[in-house]
Amino acid sequence: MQFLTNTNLDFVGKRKAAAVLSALIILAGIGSLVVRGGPNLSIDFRGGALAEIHTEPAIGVGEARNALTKAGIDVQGLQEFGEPGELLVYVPASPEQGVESDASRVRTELAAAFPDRTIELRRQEGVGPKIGGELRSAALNAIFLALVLIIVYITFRFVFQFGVAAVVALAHDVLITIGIFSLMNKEISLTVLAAFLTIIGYSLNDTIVVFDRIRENMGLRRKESYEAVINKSINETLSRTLITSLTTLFVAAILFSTGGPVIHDFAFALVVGVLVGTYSSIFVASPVLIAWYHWRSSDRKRTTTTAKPKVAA
Amino acid sequence: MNRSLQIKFLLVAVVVLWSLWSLYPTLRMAQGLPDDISADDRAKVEQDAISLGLDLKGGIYMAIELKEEELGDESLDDAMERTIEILRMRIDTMGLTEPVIQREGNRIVVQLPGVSDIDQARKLIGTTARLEFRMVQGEDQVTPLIARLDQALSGKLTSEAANDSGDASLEDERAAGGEDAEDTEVASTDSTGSDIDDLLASGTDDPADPVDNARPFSSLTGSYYEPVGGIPVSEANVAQLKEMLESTPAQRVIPNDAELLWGTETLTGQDGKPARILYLVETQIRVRGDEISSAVVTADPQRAPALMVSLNLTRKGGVKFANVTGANVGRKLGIVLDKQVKSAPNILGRIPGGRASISGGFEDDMEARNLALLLRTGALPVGIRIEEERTISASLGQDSIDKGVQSVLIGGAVVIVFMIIYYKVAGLLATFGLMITLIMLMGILARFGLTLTLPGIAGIILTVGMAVDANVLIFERIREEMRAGKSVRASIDAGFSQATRAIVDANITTFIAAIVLFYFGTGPIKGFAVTLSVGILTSMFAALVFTRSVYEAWLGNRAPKSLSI
Repeated sequence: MQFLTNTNLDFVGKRKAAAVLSALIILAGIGSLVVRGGPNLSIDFRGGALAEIHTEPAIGVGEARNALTKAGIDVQGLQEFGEPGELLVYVPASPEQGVESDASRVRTELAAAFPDRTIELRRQEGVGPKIGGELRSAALNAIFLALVLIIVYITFRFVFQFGVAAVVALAHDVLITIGIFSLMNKEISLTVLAAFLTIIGYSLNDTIVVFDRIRENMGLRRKESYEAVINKSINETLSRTLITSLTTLFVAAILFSTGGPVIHDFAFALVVGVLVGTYSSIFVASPVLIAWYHWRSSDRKRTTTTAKPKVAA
Repeated sequence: MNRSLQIKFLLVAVVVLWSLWSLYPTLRMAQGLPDDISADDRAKVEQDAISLGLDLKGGIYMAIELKEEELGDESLDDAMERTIEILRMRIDTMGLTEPVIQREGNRIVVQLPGVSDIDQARKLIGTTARLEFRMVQGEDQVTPLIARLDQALSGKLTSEAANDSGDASLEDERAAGGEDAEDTEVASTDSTGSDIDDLLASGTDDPADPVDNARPFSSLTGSYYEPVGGIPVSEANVAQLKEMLESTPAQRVIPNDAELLWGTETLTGQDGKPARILYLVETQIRVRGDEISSAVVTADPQRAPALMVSLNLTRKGGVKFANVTGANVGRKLGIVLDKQVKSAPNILGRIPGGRASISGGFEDDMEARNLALLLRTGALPVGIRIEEERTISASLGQDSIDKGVQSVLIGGAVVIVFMIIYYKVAGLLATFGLMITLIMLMGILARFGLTLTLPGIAGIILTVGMAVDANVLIFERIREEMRAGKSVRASIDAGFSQATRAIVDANITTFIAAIVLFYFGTGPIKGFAVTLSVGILTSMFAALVFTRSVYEAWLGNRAPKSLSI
């Protein structure tokens, strides 16, 4: 069985349309971020406390909120987590007392208000604002450092503009994923951040396979135009790109559907990342190379015509 | 088969056998160990099996900071060391397998596997346990102070109340000095919370008493009550009163040689409502907790079947104690634990022999046992603050394992079926490669004592998806070369040699991202970085060494006409 062999699709010709599409999605994401006043950070990054409670028979969100508010707990958020009866309750953590919060009272108060139900504390987390700030800067450092190291590696293995093009594609992927998280009002937690870094690695994987083929073809097809070589390279690697994306997408989707609520957002980020990463390795990274090439060659032409007229003639 | 090929197969066989051997303890654990196994053997198996993160086996994680403002002359390093030592002693009594207590920068990280009672853990770890014997002031001092407090607070309060009590001066005051009292207070309000709420639930909704502006303080309290040695305060008024006492005018009229401290015990007031006692306690410390040589729980002869904590003091402490009790017969001795009055018994006469006891005020036997333990292990050098805590119940952990394993199985099955349909025999080969990858990955986790976390399982699942990538690159390249009209042998050779470069470059960049993750991440994230990076290495090994060797062996000296790919 084979599909997509010997394709000759004009990807390079569609690069302007792709740029518009990317720009629109990124703008929508940025718009959403502006409207919401920044990304929706989890307590890992902003400090706070939460309790995950398993109730049986299920207690509704409304009744639970009423009971807790009545008991004097400052409920900042309460939502169903994965399935009915699984409740996630957010409460503030006091900056002065570290993380000791009302989270541990959530179970006892619910048990008091609903004596005939089984109520189990499944998870409780508290993060002081200081650690939240530290995790936030560590996260930014991590992403920044990863990007720099990757540019260095690609420059070493290819040439500098390949590194730049790869990083533009990565930034594109991360921006879109963050934007989609904001549009869907999903929280960015430590595990979601890990997914973002995986996306960086994965999308790069795809991009480099295409670049590798461009590098190879540049040597073989000297007579063809830069665009034609790149388009040929994308087509030649297309089946591999799609098959790998497909298998990775399978497992990410399975993780999303059966991995349980704790891993849900992480898996969602991976699904988005695989899709966007595949798209960007075809429609973002290579067009950036082309743009760079034209910019450099028009630059060179200008210098050759003005500074060395004799050689040009 | 030529020599280098033989070496490669030998290498694959050795690596796989080594991985399986490393995994053997984990497999034994997974099947359940027999009951008659000796404790040593059991510990060895547990030690050698893949260790699970707290998010999978359940437990408590805490990151603790010392209150540096309480340090005094001692250096932070010394205080940290002593704190770790004392915490280790306290935690050892819990009898856990593999608890972790270690310093990370300026924090202490505590991991308690299998523990889910966060309140209990907080008490054990978060209690400073500074015990002091101090004299309690009697009516002659307390009653005039009440009058002075009323005077100082009257008038001032009306404006503050209008300001929603969150007045700036109050906030400053709390930040500057009141922190201690606040912190230790939390534990006790938590523990007594359920009792009060039972009362509330039974219908007697207790609103705080209205504040009389002419005598704001005493309108919320009773007057000095000799039998208890302090001022009874209805529980409903405690919060308001605390705030009042922290204000600057109130602090100003409290004498320098004494302070108002709350009792830990919730009593039943004359009106039948729960009440706490406010004591006026001298600041001078007569005997300190570090002069305790032993602390045990014994039956309380006066309040059977309740327990009490019996203390033996050191020789020096015993002499001091005898002198203090001898000189203060008829007064009350305050037993102050972390700025709260545990009890205030009457001194009936000089107590020689260095024996003392703390009775009453225990919510349950557990609390008495805890106190004895805390006093035995000694006080922490300074108070601590829990900056981060995460509790995962064992049931949620088990759930995560089940769902993770399920995801790996389904994901693996889907990928294998796809590969076999799409690449036929070559796909089957990739399937073997995938299995070798996973066995090696797990074997490395077990052998090097790396911790498996929930994100780590996600990393394994991702490896399943990405492990076939190397094979896909190779197979696609071979197909391409065959389409270009090359022979089977030439196609296979070209496929491997051309694809290797792309595989290495692509995997190294992902590997860089994983290493950065490992470096910056905490706990669970580190687990993800570990499985991802090890997965990258093992999948490259499977594709470039195992798959390639199989093809080379199959080719041998033949020149096959067709290839199932």
